[in-house]
Amino acid sequence: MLGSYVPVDGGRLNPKMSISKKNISQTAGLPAKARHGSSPSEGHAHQLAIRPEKYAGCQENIDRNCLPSARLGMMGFEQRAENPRPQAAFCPDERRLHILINALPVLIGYVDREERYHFTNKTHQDWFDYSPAQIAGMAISELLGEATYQTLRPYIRLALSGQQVNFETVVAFPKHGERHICAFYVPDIVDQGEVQGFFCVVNDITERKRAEQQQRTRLKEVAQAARLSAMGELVRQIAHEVNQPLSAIASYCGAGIRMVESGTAGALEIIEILRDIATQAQRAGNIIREMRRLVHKRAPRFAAIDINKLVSEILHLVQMESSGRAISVRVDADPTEPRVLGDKVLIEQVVLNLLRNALEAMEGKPLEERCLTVRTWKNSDQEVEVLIQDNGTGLPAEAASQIFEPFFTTKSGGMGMGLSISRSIVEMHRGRLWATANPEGGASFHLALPSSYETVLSSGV
Amino acid sequence: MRQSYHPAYEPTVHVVDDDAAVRKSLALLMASAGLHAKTYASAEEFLEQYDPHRPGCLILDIRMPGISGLRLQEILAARHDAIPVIFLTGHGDISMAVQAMLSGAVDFIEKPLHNGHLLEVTQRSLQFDAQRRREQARRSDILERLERLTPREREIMEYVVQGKLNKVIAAELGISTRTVEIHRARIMEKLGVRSPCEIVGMVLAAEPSKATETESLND
Repeated sequence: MLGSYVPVDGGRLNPKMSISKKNISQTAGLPAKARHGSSPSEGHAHQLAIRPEKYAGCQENIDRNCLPSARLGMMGFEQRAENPRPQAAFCPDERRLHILINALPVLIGYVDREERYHFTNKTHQDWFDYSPAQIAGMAISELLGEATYQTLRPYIRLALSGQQVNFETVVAFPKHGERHICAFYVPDIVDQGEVQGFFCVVNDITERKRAEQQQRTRLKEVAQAARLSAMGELVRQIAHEVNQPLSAIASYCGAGIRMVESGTAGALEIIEILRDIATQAQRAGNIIREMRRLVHKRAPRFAAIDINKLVSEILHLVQMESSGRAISVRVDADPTEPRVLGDKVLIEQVVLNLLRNALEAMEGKPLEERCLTVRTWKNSDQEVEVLIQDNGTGLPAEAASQIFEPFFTTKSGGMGMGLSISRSIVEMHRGRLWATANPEGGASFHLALPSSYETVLSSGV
Repeated sequence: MRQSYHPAYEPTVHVVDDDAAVRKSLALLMASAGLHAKTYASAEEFLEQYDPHRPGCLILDIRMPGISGLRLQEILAARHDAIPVIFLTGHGDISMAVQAMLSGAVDFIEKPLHNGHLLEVTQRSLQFDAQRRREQARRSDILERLERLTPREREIMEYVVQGKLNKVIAAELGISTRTVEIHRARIMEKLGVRSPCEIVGMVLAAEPSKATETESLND
C-alpha cells in the first residue's frame, strides 16, 4: 500500500479515501480503446467495485456524484471487454456509458501525461463552452488560465505520479469567476506501473458552501439571541428577587417615620419595625451573596474525592427534597472506594443535576414503578464511572447529543443549562459525560472522571 | 392625616402580594397614614374574601404565582367591578404595566416603592372610589324613579328634555295641551323635581360617559 493520500486543504482529506496503486494498476482501463485487449480477471473487477464503507464519512470532501461516476466508468469498460455475462439484464457498453457520463452533473475529463485533454463529458463542455473538437489536445493551462493552473498544478503532479487525489479549493475560471470546487483525480496506470494520464472529476460546490456559511451565520445569530434573552430573563428574576425586600424596607421606613411624626408609635413599635427592616436587609444581602456564589469565578480546587461518599450524600439530599415520594433506589457502589480527582463542589453540582433530572424524568410514572439505579465502578485503571439510570421518559428522539447543548430543554420550566454546564464542568476535569438510552426504557447518564493518583497507584499500574 | 369615617363607609385598602414582608410593611404604612388595610397572599384569597359593596381600593402585585395581578384585573372587569387598582411592578415589567393602564388601572408603582407616592395614589384612589360610589348611588336612584314613569310619560319626557313647548308636544302627539300639562305635572312629581332643567340633569346623570369618569380621576 502506498501512502497514497494527499493532505490538502488543511489535511481534511480522509485517509480512508486512499486506493492502493496496485488495485488501480490491475484494473484501471482507460483510455478505453487501449485496454480492450487486456484481460484482468473478474476478481479484479470486483476489487474495484464500490465499497461504501471505504467512503463513509467522506461527504465533506467529495460530492457523492463524483466518485461513483469515476469508478463506474472504469468498471463498465472492464465488464464490456471481459465479462459479457449473458444472464445479466444490463451490461453497460461504451455507448451507454457515454450517455451516462454525459448526463452526470459533474465535470469529467481525461488528461494525458502532457497535461492535455483527451476526453471530456457534456457537462464539462457546456460549462467551459466549447466543442469536443476544440478541446481535444488542449492544455489544461490553456483552458483554465495560468493562475488557476498554478493552483491545481501540485494536485495534477500527484495524479500523474500515480496517486489518487481529492481536494477542495477555490479557483478562478475565465467564464465563471471564483468558484469553490471539489475535485477528484484518478490516475490511469497501465500494467508496468506507468501513468498514462488521469481522470479528473470536478464538482462546483460554491452554492453549497455559501448556503453552509449562511446557515452557520444564522445559527450563530440565533445562539447569540438565545444567550441574550436568557441573560435578560436572569437579570429580570434577580431584580425581582432583590426588589421585594427593598420594597418592604422602604414601606417600613415610611410607616416608621409617619408613626414617630404623628406620635402614634412608642419605642416598642419602632423597635419592631427596625427589626423587620434589618431582616429584610439581610434577605436582600443573602440574595446577592447567593448570586455572587453562582457567578463568581473561583479557581477550582482539585483534590481526591471519595466518589461513593459524594454520590450517597447527594442522593440523600435529593431524597430529602422529594420527601414523601419514596421511590426505589438501587445503589451499587464500588467496594474498593475509588477516589477521583476533582473539585468537590463542582462534581457535587453535576451529580445533583443528573439525579434531579433522573427523578424529574420519572415523574409521569406511578411511584411504585419508578426505579433509580446508581452505580460506581472503576471502568479502567484511569477512570471511575458513575452511572445514573432511570426508567423515565427517556431521551428525546435523535437528541442524545443535543441534550448537552445550551438552551436545549424538554422541560417546560427549564432553561436548558443544567446538562450543558455539567458537561463543561466534566470536561474541565478531563472527564466524560454522556447519555445512552436504556433498551427497557429510560435514560442512562454516564459520568467518567479521572482516578486520583492514589487510586491509580493502588490498582497496581 | 387621620381621616374619620362612619364605620360602614370606612374604606379598605386591599393589598394583594405573594411576599409576606411586602404585605406586612404595606399594611403598616397604610396604618401610619390612618388607612385601614387588609392583606391577601394571593389573588385567589382576595377573591374569596372581597366584598364589592364595601368601599376601597386595591394594591396589586402584577407578578404573582397562580392568578396574576393582570388576570385578577380582568376577572374584576368581567364582573363590572370598578374598584380602583394600583399595580406594583418590578423592574422590566413595563409592557405589563402598560397593559394594566390600558385596562383601566389607576396607576402603577415600581418596586422598590416610593411610599409617599404610593400613599398619595392610594388616597386619590379612595376618593375616586367614594365619588364613584356616590355617583352610582345617585344613578340607581334616578333609574329607579325613571322606572316609575308610564310609557306615555316617558315619551312626553323625551320631548320636554328636547326643550319643546307644551303646545308643540300636544300638536305632535295629537292630544290636548291640557293633557300634556297633566302628564308633565305627574312626571315632575314622580321624579321629585321642580323644573324641566332638573329633568335634563337627571337624564344626563343616568347615562354617564367614560370620559367624565377618567376626568374626575385625574384631577
